[in-house]
Amino acid sequence: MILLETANKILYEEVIAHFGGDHRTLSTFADFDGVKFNTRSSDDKQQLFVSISFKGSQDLLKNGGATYLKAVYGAMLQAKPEQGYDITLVVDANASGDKEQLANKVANLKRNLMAAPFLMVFEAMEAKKPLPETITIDYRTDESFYIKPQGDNVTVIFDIHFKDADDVILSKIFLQAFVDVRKTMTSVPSVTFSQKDPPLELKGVKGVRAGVAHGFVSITLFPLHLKRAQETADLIQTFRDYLHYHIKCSKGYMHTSMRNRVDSLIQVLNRAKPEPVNTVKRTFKGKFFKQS
Amino acid sequence: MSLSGLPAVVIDNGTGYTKMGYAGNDDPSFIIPSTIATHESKGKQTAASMKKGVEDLDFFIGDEAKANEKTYDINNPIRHGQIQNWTHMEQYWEHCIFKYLRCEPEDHYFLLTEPPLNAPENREFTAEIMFETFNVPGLYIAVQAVLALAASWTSKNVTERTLTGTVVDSGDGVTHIIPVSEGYVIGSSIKHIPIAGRDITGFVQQIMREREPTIPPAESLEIAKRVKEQYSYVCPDLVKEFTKYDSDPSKWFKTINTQDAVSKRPYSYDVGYERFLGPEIFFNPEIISSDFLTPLPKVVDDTVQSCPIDCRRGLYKNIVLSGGSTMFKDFGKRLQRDIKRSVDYRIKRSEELSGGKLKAVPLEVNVISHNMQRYAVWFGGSMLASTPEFYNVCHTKAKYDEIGPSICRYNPVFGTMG
Repeated sequence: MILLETANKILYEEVIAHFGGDHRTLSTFADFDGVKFNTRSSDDKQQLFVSISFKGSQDLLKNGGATYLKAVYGAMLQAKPEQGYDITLVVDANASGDKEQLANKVANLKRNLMAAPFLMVFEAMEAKKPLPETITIDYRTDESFYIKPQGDNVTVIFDIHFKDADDVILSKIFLQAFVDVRKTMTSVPSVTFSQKDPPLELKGVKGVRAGVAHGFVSITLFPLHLKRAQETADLIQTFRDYLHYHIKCSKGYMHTSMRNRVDSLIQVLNRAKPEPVNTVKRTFKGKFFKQS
Repeated sequence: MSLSGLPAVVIDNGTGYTKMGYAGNDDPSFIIPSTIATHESKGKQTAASMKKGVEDLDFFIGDEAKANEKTYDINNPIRHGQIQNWTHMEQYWEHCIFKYLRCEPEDHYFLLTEPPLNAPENREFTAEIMFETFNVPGLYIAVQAVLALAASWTSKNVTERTLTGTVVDSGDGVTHIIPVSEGYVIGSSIKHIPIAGRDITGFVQQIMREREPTIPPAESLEIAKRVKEQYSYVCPDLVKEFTKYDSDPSKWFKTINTQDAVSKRPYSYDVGYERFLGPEIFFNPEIISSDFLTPLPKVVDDTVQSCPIDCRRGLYKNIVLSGGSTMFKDFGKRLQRDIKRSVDYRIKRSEELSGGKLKAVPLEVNVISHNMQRYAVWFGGSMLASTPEFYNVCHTKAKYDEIGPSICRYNPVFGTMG
């Protein structure tokens, strides 16, 4: 698996199980970026309430989220979310149409929410509508991302906070590969990485965090990418988790080679054992003789 | 719940299946085979310079691994409950976390399980992977038998939350009897029985093959599984049960009409004696095996008898069932009756031998059944990991960075209060 999936598997299975109309559920589970889902079936098991709680949802809803979710989910979207959650969808057990498609749509709730501001910006660029200078989405406890339209291009800046010092170094190497790939391929977005200090694009934006553990990744998307809006949004909204996933995989990969190295060193050590000197040599019949 | 308000992750890696989900839920979100499909044949993974690309990301786990059997190499990183291949296990967890549970491991506390008598080194290896690779904020490694005991607190018959008891854990491959005292496993007294779910299926299949020749051979295993899971129960008396079936076959024999999966040819078969004969092999193993002849109640009794004398009462009082092969109707009742019988006999005998001078305090034998038996270990983990106490006993990343993986050698017992 190189790219992360966009749909939540647990949510998908909950919705599929609900379609029989004879399944009671009450569960809480998580997704990337501190998202918490809650599914609850109504007393008659005919309706499933899917609620999401997400720190960034206010920012996201303000910046195109509300309109986009309305367009995707329509009547499923509840006007008043459940207590303690930000958005609630309701799924009917006897819903018409392709059940798998519907379940997939519900399972992509977080994706649709996260992708909304990107899609809004991409669309507005296409239609040459005016846009705010910078859109700030404060989506994790100490991380945010910024969308900044610049002429024909859109720059997306992720402020990524690393809890572990080693991760900063690994991410640097990893992101270097993104920069290098531009040498061989021309159609890729340009990526720059800066540490501690926010990039110049964020000059004048309020509330930008900075510090040793913060890394800023700026991805500039060109008109070419904006045309394939859905695909680009799919990828860019998982970027932070994608980066973290690969940092973890590369650590795992290094551990693998370390383990293999240890194994081969142990083999060397085993081979280096001196052969026992005083062995008694026996003849074929079991007799032995001493050499004096 | 932790500071972030996100539920802890509970992963129970068993030999056959891995159960995973979020704490606080009643059922695990995923139950997948503990299998990984990798491209090992391309040679052992050697120096990084030898490789280009992303071969290390090209693998599948669980059902997807089974589906890709033809083009990949299938491996089981866990054998006899213990992790054998750490590289595969690390990859397996990668997918568990990022593909199935979809969570950022840095935001969640983790509860993992281990079999009884696991080596402390294995705990260290687990801790290394969890803290170094995944940067988890907190980790707790629980013993499966203890979690199974905790899961039994949901039963109506349990009045006090105790972590003393005997766990009868029967899965697919092997049945274990594990005595636990105050949350600590009495390792020297653990006993195994080579009879478990797979043997019952095989036995049912064998009887049905003899009696119902219309069943297509290709489907006999599936049918045997279905009969075992849906129709089987434990009878109180074998002879009486046979007479009951023979006197009124129409009431007890169930005829099932079905059709061949491939040729669509309809056929029918009767389900009869195998309904109670299947689970009976726990109580009369001589009907299938000639090597192993001790019935389950006797083994449980022997296990408790081999434990220190001061904890035996607690062990008899709380015999807890766990695993899919203990789900048969009236399994607990029969087990309780048989154990009680041998215990009472022994007490009576010793009273007689003392010449009536000694009188024993009556001994309680309780076998506890509950609804969560199938995933008892996972459920116990889910329950304990949703208590606030869990966050106090977890080993934290800060502690790990300060001291090292040795902190995970010891995982304090908790949950008995409240």
